[in-house]
Amino acid sequence: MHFALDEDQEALQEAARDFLAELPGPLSMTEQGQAYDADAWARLVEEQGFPAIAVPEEAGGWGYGLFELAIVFEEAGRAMTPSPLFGTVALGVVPIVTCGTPAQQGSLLEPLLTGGTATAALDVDVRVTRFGGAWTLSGTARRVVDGHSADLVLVPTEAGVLAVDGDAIAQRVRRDVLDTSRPLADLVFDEVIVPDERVLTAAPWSEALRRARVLLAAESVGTADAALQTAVDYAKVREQYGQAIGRFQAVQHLLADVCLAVEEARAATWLAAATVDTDSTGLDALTAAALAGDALFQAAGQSIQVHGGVGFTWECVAHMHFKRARASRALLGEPADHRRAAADAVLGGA
Amino acid sequence: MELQWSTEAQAFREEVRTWLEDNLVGAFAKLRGRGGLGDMDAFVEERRVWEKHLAAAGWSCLAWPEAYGGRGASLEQEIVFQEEYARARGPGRLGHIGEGLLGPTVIRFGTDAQKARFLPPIVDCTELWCQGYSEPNAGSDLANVQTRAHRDGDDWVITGQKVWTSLAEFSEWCFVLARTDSDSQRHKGISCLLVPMDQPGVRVVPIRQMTGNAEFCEVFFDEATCPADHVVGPVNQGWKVAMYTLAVERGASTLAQNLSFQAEFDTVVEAARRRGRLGDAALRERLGGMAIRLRAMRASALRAITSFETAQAAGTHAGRETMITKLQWASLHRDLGELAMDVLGDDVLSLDASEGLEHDLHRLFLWARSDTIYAGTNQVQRNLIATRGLGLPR
Repeated sequence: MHFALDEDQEALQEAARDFLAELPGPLSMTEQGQAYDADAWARLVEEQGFPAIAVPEEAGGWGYGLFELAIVFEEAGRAMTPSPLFGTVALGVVPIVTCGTPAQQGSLLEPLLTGGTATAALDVDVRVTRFGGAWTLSGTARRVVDGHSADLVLVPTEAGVLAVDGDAIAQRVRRDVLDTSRPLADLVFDEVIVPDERVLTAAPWSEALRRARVLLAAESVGTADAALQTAVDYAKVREQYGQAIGRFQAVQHLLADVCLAVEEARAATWLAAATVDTDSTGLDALTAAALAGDALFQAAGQSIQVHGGVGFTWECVAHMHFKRARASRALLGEPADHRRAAADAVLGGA
Repeated sequence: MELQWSTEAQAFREEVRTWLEDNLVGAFAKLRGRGGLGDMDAFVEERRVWEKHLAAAGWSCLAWPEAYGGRGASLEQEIVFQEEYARARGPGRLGHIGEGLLGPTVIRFGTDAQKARFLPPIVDCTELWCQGYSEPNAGSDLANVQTRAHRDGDDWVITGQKVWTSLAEFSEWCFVLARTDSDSQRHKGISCLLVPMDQPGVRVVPIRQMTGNAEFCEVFFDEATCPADHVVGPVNQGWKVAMYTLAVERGASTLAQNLSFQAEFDTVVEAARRRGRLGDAALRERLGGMAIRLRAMRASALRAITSFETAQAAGTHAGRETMITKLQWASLHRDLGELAMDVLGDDVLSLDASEGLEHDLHRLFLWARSDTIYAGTNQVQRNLIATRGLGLPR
């Protein structure tokens, strides 16, 4: 038993951290309707190969697992680099690997390993009908991550997960959002024809969701750690009453509680990433999702508090951490939802 | 990242499990689940017999070097033994202070004579130890020790008072932090003395807890004596020895503790089920939340075990992930105690509510109020996390 990163994983973590620290951070995307930095995304793909990490070698990837991807996602959360990474990998690449046959992986992943983007619709109101040996998709999807720009949109339906080309989407309307660093758009599908080879049925969508939750948890742990570190750094230098405010027990205890929440969530996320293929009840993924969601919100909220008046300003990064915290919780299930699901897993149904 | 235990550990686990199944029977059967925290004054004489039985089969002092009567067990083996012991609901260990605290300290700092005299009776469970650290004015602030000792001929003469001394009533020996340099202040001038309990100068008064039972004591030293060579480590440098004692725990019992808490949680769920309350949405969310925290406690414990191992091998300090565990489990257990009452409805009012259940929920509720206090209060833990973990200024 060795519950820690091994040497290769540490190297991956350090390389990701150093690389992402050079890219634009959350304060580069504070306005509604801004676009991602295309250069940053290109470098993420070409220099770091992030989308390829958890793709099987036969499909052109590195052949690593969810654990290695989680390490990178934690660093992406720490840097909070505005980019299509979460949408493309957590909601695109990983579901394709999970729910697609090797042939489907081969064809659908190729563009995503070379700069193409993807996402999944999580809130859908759609109908699928069988016609002419293919499926026809009509309806709407609300608040799709990167829905306005993604090259590929996965749509979970009763027929399976449909892989829909961005070009085939009738309407894509961007929303004004709480978290400007994670664009959302409403989509309209108008009789989109989806051939069988673009319908993923090798595993249920719930398996893809489980993995997406673990990756979101990892990202959230990274952002929470950044929020904590920002607050600690501030508390060390901000002086009032003749001393650093970090000397006051009230501040120390508040940040110690955040530290516990972050470290607990990190351990839970590592466990979930390591057991994702073997945990039959799904409790580990629920644990990571619930605790990471709560830890980030606590860390970001307390960071504002420790920063005092400055923490309330547009120029301070704290509000971006905070908005990311609250919005992330609403993406794949709130902590309360995960607690209820954990009860179902442990107690049996009501 | 590796979650699997080694094949040797798995084989060892089978060996332990089988032995416990075969031996926690007959007269020992009634000791299952007894004598643990919150119940330490139960079946003391019967547990002495059990521990001698454990010792005869080679299960005591597993991690001690073979030279001192142990098996030189690896951390993995220690962890596995503790887990299986907890799973079998093995009775609380009377010898845990000697085996886990005093023994390793003597191995590290003791003279050959001290090792020869004191280690074998710990291994064969014929002598019990209690820990004379806390005093009325030295709780969180242990450096405020006031118990004094001076040399008189061939003896140390000790006068003062210790408090919260678990198992003092039943122990043959006490390792006592005493101020041996009368001019000294704070952590300077303290020595660690090994004092026999059965003498006129030592008076033990049990303290009754809010749980109703009395698991710890006041110990009054009124010119009590011990031989001059019963000092562990250098005279007046006992603080270093005391800090070693407090840090010697390798995390071997944390997974077992998690299993015990899990078993208590299962009892809380059973109590709710019997009252038809498992359909209550708000309660379900709380139960799910507690299941999640228990799982996270396990993940955190695994991580801390590895972090301590790595740090020890490299001669470095373990990171902040090891500093949060006491705050985490103590708060969890306190909240579990509250949840235990909340599932009972009006049955909170009478103590027979736990009849037929594996764990006494009222005792859990009351006992858990001490978890956030002993072994470093939640407030002290936060101070440590903030200063040592986050680097905030003292």
